Amino acid sequence: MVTTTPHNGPPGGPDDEPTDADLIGRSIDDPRAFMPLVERHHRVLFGYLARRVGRDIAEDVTSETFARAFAQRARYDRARLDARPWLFGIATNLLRNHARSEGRQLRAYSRHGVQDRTHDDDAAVDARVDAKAQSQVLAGALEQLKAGDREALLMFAWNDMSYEDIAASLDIPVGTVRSRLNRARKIVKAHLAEHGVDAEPDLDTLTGGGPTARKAHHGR
Amino acid sequence: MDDDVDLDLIRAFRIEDAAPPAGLRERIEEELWEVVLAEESRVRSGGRARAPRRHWLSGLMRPAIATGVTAMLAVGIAVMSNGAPVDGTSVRAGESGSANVTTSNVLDATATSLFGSNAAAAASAPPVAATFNATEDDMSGATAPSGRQLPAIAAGPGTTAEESATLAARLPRSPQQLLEQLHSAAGDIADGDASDRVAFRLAMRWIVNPTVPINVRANMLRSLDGLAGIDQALRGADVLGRPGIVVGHIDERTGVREQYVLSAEGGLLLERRAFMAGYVDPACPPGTFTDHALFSDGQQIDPAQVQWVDWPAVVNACDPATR
Repeated sequence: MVTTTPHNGPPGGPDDEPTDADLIGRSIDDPRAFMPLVERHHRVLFGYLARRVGRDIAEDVTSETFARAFAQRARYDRARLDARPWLFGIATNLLRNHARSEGRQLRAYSRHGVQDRTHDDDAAVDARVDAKAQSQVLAGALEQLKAGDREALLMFAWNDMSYEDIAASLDIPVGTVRSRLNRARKIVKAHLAEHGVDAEPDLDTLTGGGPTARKAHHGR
Repeated sequence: MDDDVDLDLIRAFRIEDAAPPAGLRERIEEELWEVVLAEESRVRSGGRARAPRRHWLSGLMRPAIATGVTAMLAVGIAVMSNGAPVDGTSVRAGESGSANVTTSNVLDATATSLFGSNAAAAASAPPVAATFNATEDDMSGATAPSGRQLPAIAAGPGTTAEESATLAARLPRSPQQLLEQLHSAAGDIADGDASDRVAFRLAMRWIVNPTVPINVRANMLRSLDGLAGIDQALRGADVLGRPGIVVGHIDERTGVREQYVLSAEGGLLLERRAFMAGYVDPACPPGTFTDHALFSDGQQIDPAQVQWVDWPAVVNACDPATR
């Protein structure tokens, strides 16, 4: 099983930064203490949202997530040192207002593929064609998933979140996360096989060769 | 099929969309500040707050005002205003400013609540230099030790409203971002505790300059809340009894407290004072003034010409920095 590396180590060491829980606790009386959470989490939150519903909506939802989190900070369970699952939970709830946008985008990608904005040269044309075809098939697979299954799968794949963190984000039992992931992955794999996608994807082509491309192998 | 090909494909899916756009963090923080300030506004106006909370800006005021008043009393200043002594009741720490912050643009509205509604008049007043001495203040053409040109925040505002607005546009609006820039710029100029004092003075150059947009000045003032050694009071007064906001900084090394009194109407500089606030040097006991100046309509005034003010303080009789 994948275990996330908490953003903050256990408190107490002399060089420890305050944990998310510390900051949220302090922010009850001193609202400014909440601000570092934006720096800590906005990138991963935006990235997840942008890939689901597009950058424009993601900007609004990221911002709204922090505003909601601030408003709800008194109810935060400070036993949880890392606030990321909490923030993702808020974002996921907000995202449900944009379910149609996500569906429309996935349908569009399944028809036309993901627009590759990373390569302008002709050298990788063949690879890009393959990548585009793969993204079309994948979008079709993701579109088939139930919303809850898709949420669990994308949190797992994009954010390297543990089952426990996903469970906390979606407010469901860990066992349910497990079953949602199994179900989602079976459907996606079947869809990929049905459309002949059975090779390792060319991640360099898909991602522009950047450092973000990872071939992580998660245990199951 | 590879067992994880589905995950690998998903990880690569739309990854080019994942990088946040430039300035996203600043925009989020700015919006969050509005929420923070709106909450504080509700607290001040007795709204939905669960329990009374101190305004974060006024929270640091009590020690400053207490010290300021004590220091004045210590040197035996008998300040008369229209024949009536200015007693302690004219300087109440911990009182909040205006509670009428209800507009959508809370940052700008709070600027008004901080500096009153006379911003237009303030903007037309002559610029006031926030100098304690020429050597320390003249940083506009300075370069960092590394040879880099100082950032906009260290270069300071311009001399006209248009010039200052252009320069101010390069600054972030979030107080936290401003503070980070102040720390960074001051760290290039001085080390350790001295850099806090430099950061304070860099900020004051913006705050007291009426050509700078009022929301920038207010945000800069708020940013100082996070600086070590800062004290602020939303309700203070100068030695003439003119009400205003007091913002000060104590240099623990020299024991000197610098304070600026800004008018409640427009944030114009009314008074600049520096006095010993600690027992650092027996020859400079607490309460000894090392610098003092009064201003009216942006111009420095000679205390001797203010007939109704008895001003016995001997300024610069003691300079701990040179001892």
